[in-house]
Amino acid sequence: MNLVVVVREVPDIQEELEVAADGKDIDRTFISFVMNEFDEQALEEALVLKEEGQADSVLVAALDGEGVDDILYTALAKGADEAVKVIHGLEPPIPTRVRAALLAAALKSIPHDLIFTGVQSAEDWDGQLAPLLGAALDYPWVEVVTAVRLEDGLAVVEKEFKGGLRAELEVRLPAVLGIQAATKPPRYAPVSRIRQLMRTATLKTVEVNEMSPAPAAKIRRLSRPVASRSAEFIEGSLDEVVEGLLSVFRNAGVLRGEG
Amino acid sequence: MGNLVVLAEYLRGAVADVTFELLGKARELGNLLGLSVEVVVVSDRQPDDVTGRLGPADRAWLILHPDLGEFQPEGMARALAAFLGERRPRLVLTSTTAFGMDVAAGIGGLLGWPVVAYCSALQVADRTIIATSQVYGGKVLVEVEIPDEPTVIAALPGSFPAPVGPSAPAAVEIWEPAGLQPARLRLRRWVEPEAADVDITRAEILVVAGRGIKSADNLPLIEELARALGGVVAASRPVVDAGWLPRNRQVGKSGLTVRPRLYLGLGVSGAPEHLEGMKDSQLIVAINTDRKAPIFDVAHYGVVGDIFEVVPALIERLRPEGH
Repeated sequence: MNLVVVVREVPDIQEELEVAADGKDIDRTFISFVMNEFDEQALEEALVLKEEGQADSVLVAALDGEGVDDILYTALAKGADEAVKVIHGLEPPIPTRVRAALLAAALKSIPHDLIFTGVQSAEDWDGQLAPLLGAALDYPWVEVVTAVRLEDGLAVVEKEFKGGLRAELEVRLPAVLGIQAATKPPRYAPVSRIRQLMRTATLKTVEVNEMSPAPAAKIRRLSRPVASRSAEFIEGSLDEVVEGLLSVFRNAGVLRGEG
Repeated sequence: MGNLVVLAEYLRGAVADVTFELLGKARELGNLLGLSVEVVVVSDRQPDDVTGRLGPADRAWLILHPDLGEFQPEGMARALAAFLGERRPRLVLTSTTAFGMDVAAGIGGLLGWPVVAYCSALQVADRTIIATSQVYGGKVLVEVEIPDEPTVIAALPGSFPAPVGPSAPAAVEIWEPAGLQPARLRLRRWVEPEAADVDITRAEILVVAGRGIKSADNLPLIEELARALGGVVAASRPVVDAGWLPRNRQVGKSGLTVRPRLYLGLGVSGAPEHLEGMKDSQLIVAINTDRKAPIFDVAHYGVVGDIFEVVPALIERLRPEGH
């Protein structure tokens, strides 16, 4: 049973993001890239299945892009058996549908029984990868998966709905799963281990040809949201802030013994 | 060109609220563009009693197939793709929910139609349809022009404020997919949510821990503040995914919707999925180091500051006098 985890880099949304001068993309010059947080969950779930003996191997694959080597070495440090970088020659941002087409082409030369990826990413406004990849490969897919176990030729998954309701679904393999959360929190890879692997491990590469452009909605502009309600900021020294908060609570009648 | 088609989110006998929000929006766009509004439901039963309460559409379609009775996301997407591919509607409207996420991008992928996910606004300018999508954790809006071909829209629930109520559509027709490939996916069972030790939907005061609490080691501090305020601790998704709090404490899209008298967010950035579950709280107060965090767009009061300074000071002031 070979598991493939598709991961990608995304701009670190904890940092300041600026809109580029032409207004059509974010400014990618000075931002740092991190592994999509949901891809981290997908990787964790795959690694757990391997450790439990339910799967034989975990291969991690990513389209080439800024920061991708770091992400792939980190995945190896966490316990992935192999890492593959898909070379494509396109400039970012790559539409998700084109990502799906490139990955589907690359997966022809990568043995796989089950494909994991994150349920969504910070910039997939044009559709989530798991259903698009499932459609491109003609495999079944399930989004919002929070648990996976493997049975004979099947993945049995839990798909989560609002309020904690879950559907237990059985899916014939091969299939694509969009992971919302792994069974346990993603593990940490020690920096020393990542550095060591950067010296000793090799990333495999698969080259795919450019795909014909898919139909897409055209970006008019990016902007920062205008607040529908602008918070009144409580400012000043720490004492003033605390007094300000208490007075807000008091006025709303939510202070104990005063409400 | 085609009509506006709303995909009904019909699950376990109930039509989700978001379906009526989408129908309300479709009606408004339909009036502006001179297009009729249709609603589609997928089921295995004929006649299904749901067709009479799908809302005020010009026409309802019941897509009927024996394999599509229980929740069957991939089969549903394939049946819908066959149905929609024949009709080429102007827009297909669904939502960014657990139900819609399988179907929206799935239909887009199967039919080669553009998809716009996380849509929070739809408007018409010079007969061009413009969709706004929330990305980068709600920090950036992308405004896109819908091309002159069928496009799938997945809206964030709660985006369209003029929902219509359940009522009978003007006409109901049945469509049976021919040659649907055998199901590769099957529902085994529904797993009900575990009984919670604390029901955050009933709490009057919620102290909500976000990614900014940095470590599970800091939870006792948050709990102490909640106790001092007479409230309970809830969390945003990253805190729950990290395993620091159980899932029944999670506020937001994949968690619970809350409307407490006081929502106090500590290090919560306010991703759209989180705001969806708390924006109707009576009083929203947020403390975050990032002045541009989207939580401040819905908060009544904000503090730009370090929770590890403000929270201990607040606890100190809340201690009963004489201690």
